[in-house]
Amino acid sequence: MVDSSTIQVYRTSTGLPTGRVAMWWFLASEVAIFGGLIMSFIMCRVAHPEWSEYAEYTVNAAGAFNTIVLLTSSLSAVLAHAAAARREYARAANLLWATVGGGLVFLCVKAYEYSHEIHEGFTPVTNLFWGFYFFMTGLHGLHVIIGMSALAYVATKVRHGKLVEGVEYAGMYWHLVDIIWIFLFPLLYLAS
Amino acid sequence: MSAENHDKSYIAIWGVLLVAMIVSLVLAEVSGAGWVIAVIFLVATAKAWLVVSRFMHLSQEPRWIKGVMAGAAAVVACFLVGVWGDVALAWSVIPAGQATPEAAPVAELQAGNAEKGAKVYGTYCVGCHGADGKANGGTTGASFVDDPSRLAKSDAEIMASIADGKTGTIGVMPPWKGTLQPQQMVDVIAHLRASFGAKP
Amino acid sequence: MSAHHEESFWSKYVFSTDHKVIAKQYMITGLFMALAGGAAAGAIRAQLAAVEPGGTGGLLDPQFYNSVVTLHGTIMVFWVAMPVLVAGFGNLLIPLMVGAEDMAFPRLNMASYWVFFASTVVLLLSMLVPGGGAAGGWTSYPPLSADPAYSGVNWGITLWILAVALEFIAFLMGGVNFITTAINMRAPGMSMWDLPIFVWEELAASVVFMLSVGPLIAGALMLLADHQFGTHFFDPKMGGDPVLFQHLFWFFGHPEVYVILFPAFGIAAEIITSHSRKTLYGYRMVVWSIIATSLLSFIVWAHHQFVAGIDPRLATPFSITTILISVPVAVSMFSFIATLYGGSIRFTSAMLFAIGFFACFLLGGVTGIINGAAAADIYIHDSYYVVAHFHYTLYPLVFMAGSAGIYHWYPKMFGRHLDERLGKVHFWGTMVFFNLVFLPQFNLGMMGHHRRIAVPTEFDFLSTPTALLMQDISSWAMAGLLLVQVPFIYNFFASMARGEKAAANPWRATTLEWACPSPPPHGNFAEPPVCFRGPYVYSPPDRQADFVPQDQPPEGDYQLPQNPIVAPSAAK
Repeated sequence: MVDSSTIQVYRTSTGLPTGRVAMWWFLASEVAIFGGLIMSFIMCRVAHPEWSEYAEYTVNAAGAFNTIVLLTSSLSAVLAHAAAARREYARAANLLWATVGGGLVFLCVKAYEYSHEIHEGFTPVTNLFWGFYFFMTGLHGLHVIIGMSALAYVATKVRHGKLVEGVEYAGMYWHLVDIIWIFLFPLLYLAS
Repeated sequence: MSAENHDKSYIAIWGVLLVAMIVSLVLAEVSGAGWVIAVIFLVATAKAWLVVSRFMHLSQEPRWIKGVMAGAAAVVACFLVGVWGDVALAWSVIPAGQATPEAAPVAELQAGNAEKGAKVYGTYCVGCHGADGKANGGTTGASFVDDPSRLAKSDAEIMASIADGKTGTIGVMPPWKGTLQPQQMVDVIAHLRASFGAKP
Repeated sequence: MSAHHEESFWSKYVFSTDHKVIAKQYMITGLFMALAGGAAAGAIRAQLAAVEPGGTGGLLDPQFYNSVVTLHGTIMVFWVAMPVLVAGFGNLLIPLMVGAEDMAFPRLNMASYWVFFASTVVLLLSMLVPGGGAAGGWTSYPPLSADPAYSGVNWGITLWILAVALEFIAFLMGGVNFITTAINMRAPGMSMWDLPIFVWEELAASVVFMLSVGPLIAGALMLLADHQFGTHFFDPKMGGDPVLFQHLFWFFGHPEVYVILFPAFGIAAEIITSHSRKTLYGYRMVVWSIIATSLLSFIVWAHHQFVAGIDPRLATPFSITTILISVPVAVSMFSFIATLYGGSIRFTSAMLFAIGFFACFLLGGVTGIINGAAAADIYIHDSYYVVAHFHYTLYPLVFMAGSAGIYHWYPKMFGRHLDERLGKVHFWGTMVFFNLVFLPQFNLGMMGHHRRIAVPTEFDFLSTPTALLMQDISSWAMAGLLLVQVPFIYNFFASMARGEKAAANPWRATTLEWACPSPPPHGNFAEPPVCFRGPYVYSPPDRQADFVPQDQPPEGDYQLPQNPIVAPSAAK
């Protein structure tokens, strides 16, 4: 008997799996959220040339390291998807855990950065640049946590050959998280 | 297409992404000029495009899915275009210790051209001050015609009001230094004096 | 093909994943909140009637009045219009109209309702905290709304922002479901051009909502940060920009009114076709007009800010786009009117409300054009002219088209008919009193009556006998408008038990929601329906039939259309 919780996998009018259609729409809405925020930042940044001085105090080395970490975790996510497509479920699960690990490293470095900056006297209320910095990276960090949770959940399932399509969908979400960071890094760290 | 080849191509793309990041890092260390920032941003866009099309496989999706994501990007672009003038151009804070063109003495600019000033006035000032300079009976702004004290001020004083804005008894005049060039302000003052008042 | 699993009271009626139950939950929550919003409206009109010339009199403390005005607007837009029109009718009808068993993601659907329910609780709580409820208008502009020292409100604003944020999350979750179900779960043989207009409208509403709400989610969180944590995103003293918030708000706020408009137009389309036995005039034109309206809705928003001190160069482009957007909306309206023309019209309560909706919405729409011309807007912005304009659009959308939808689909939802006599009382009372409430407000606006002021009679020009007469007419009619909803409320609940039992297809309509029992069982259709034709084959010229349902097989031999099926392990 078909029960309605899995109906999305069995029927498609477009030829695409329903989960993937849903994930693209969801990601489109996330693009609108972060896009609006990033555009607001860019406009304020243009209006306040003096922010280039404040941006000197973001830790470029940490930001660059985090960029490498996220790019590598995106690689492991897409390799996990390729492994799952070949039915190599153990390999897929391991690669997903590697992705989760990348997210964890990212968060630890971010935590270090935050504590360093606050120690230096830069808090979200110091001025508008730092308000944006903490808000944008904070919202991004929240999405990293959500992504890690989704990936971990899928990893536990896919090891036993279940929820295989979740590897792709959680991976897509993770790639978006990576893309957002690809823009945040130059905006907050390099434009100084 | 064997599965091994796929993995290798993903790793190759990862390599390109890392190289692009290092290029951006190096460029940023070298210079903070505007064009460098623009190049860095373009590199970021290219990296994002690689991830979207190759890791997320957007390039293999049907056209309408590509349209959905393009639509989301277009929506964000609409927001940027519509709000740019109000936020990006509205605030020009003077960095400490640095004189700005707005602080340049009026005398260093060309003498005011009332004709050009009339055009500027007609675009930016007429909404509050009225085409007749009477500001709807002095309710939406200063009336230059009915209140002689307004144009009795010096050019420099009026220039300061235009550039920095003013909060007065009638209301709030916004600052125009982000929108108008100093020469335009000088021209507007010439128009005001020619059309509405006498010289001090 | 329906699911067989054990159901308790809780899993059947409360924590149900069935889209029909979720639809009722959204609708009933929305209608309950309409009572709250309506009470607020009554309080506003009572205050405006009670003030005396010279600025004396009045019933409400001005701070509290601001709060009532804020909550009236917020509740009506986010807690009545959205749950009733978008989520209620959408949840009920999208799976049925495309011939599916349920939404694409039933558990996500259930979660969306409970997030919405939480948002409702948070909003109601926000009215009860010390300092009172949010009082910055439903637009909540900073710096006023960001600083408790200015607005006098502290926790009220915080909870208000959280409630709105939760509501947005609920509708993002719902939106994914609506879009995916409409696109990917259509019955075999149902192309996009065979979709009922209601589904197209819900699809457009969901897409527009999902793409436009992003910047405001960012903006709302930034406002919250300014308010609670002392950041300066919108504080001009520290380099922030209040106009940025306005842009973030209205970039969503304007598409939002189209999100409300689309389902209402869809409801009207379904009713006028079935209740006049005519096919929709210009189906494809209507679809293109929906798409054009959706696209244009993203580039008109700054018409709310013409006098806010925006870059003057924006005035003309936004005036042009604003006036332009009336064209596709008018195309839909003309199509509906042409559909009625020459039809065999049955004046059921549903049809009466649909026609009344057109008439009143038309007046609202044309006054929108006047507002949209920047030069005219300089005078009428923030006056009661604007208030009258948006009530002439929103009230018909929510309470006339919404009522029409309830009269039309109540038999499908509950298996019984609403009483038609009470329905007609409801209709005529609403029409008469609604127009008496809001027509005078155009005049008051032109006289210079500013919005959101508790004591208009402080001003001599608003204390003239004409002005006071307009106020009195508007206020007394409001009492009538509220009273005449009572028969409807009674009708709604009494008919569940005592209404005339409904057949599967009492209106003899063609769309697929009528191809299953009233009410449909869990799983909706005994056999998954197959779609053979477009949605509005009424009085076809080529055969002797009053109507031909979408799922009726054609005469003679035919090929069963197939849908591609994806295997369970969907990884490539």
